[in-house]
Amino acid sequence: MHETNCAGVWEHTIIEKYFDMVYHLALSQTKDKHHADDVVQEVFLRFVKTDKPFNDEEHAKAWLIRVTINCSKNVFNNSWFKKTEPLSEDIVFETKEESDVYYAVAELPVKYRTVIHLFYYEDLSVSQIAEYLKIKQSTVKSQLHRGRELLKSKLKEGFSDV
Amino acid sequence: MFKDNYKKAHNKIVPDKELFQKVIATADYELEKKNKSKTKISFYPYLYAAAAVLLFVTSLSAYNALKPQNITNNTSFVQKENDKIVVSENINAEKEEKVEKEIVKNDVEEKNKVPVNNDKKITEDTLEKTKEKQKPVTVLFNINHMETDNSIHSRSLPIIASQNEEEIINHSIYEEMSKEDYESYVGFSLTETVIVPQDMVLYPKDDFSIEKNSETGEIINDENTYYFENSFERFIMIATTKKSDEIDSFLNNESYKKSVINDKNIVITLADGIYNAYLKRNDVGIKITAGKIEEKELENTIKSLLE
Repeated sequence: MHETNCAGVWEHTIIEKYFDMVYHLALSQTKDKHHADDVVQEVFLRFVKTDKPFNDEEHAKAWLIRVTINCSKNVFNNSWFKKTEPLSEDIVFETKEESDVYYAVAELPVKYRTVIHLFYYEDLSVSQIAEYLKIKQSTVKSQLHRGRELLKSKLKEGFSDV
Repeated sequence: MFKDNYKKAHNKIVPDKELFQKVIATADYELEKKNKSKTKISFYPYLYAAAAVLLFVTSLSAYNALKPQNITNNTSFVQKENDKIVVSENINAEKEEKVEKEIVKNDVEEKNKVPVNNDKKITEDTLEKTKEKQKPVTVLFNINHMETDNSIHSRSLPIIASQNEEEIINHSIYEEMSKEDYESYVGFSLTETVIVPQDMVLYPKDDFSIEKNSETGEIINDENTYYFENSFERFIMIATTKKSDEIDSFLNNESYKKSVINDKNIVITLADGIYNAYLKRNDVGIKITAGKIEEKELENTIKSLLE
């Protein structure tokens, strides 16, 4: 079992390694950079404050994914969030395909968006997603399938690997 | 293709450097706070342990100061000096003070009651005078009364001791006081204290062989014999219906003499209604108290004990 109080070295390593993962997951969930910033700070604050003993790095990674999703949900449920409209962000993409794909995924319902993001961006397997999100593999598979179907209809031109 | 485009699109969105610095700074602060609080918490068990030890020592001291004086604690005041037995002044002053308070308190109460014997009624002045003259001290024994079926009952036994042997011998307090006065004087209820059928002897439990079956280890005695064991000092008190001469012969018994060597021997006899307690030390008997108890009172007491 990992000792989390080992002068903070281990925590620093985890933060550096999974900072991008947490940020992009939060972004895919909230679809807003500022909310993503808030979620990232909240997730890592919880990470250093928790007394939960982590067995290994993989355990910590799973924990971070779950907490990121939960913190993002909290943002959605926040009354302040419900009353606000996100500012249009000028994200400059190199190609139209990149832009289309990004916004198509962003328009998916959150449950499909989550598994699509973890599957395609984080390269996690179905079993890993099921384990991290604590849901059945069959559920992950069906959500992936429905997400892909929605993406196909949105993108029209179609991506053979979707 | 979808996967590459999605990854590329996401990687275009880079978090602010400030965000990372902010997260690291917050983490450092929280980790430092956490380590400090852990250091603090780790100190508490030692603090609690020290407090517990202190409490234990205090409790032990208080217990030793307040626990009822048993005979060995009080035998220390008996010393042999130039072949003469003297009793040192190491007498429990607190007990004396308590007795004095009880006298005043109970005397007021007694005045309100129906007088038992006006001739023998002792006023506060008389009691003070008696106390000054004899300076008696009540020693309370905690005695576990062991029935023949091995059931244990706790009882207390007050014994009066004084600084002067002659005064002790002549201290037949019952001749001057009624039972109620005596109880007021010693501060204990007699029915809860002196509980002996006829004669009783205290001797160390280890020398109990004279009363035991050598084969079975069972206690052999007649049905009117009762055994009292002092749980602290391992004394056995035998209360029998034996006559005085039988007690005398018993005291001359070799096994009994052996027990005397242990230097922890109390003999309490009650014959002809006179309750006597002897402290035996180095084969020298010192009569430390004497009291008169009516036979009927004794019987009632014994009955209540055996119930």
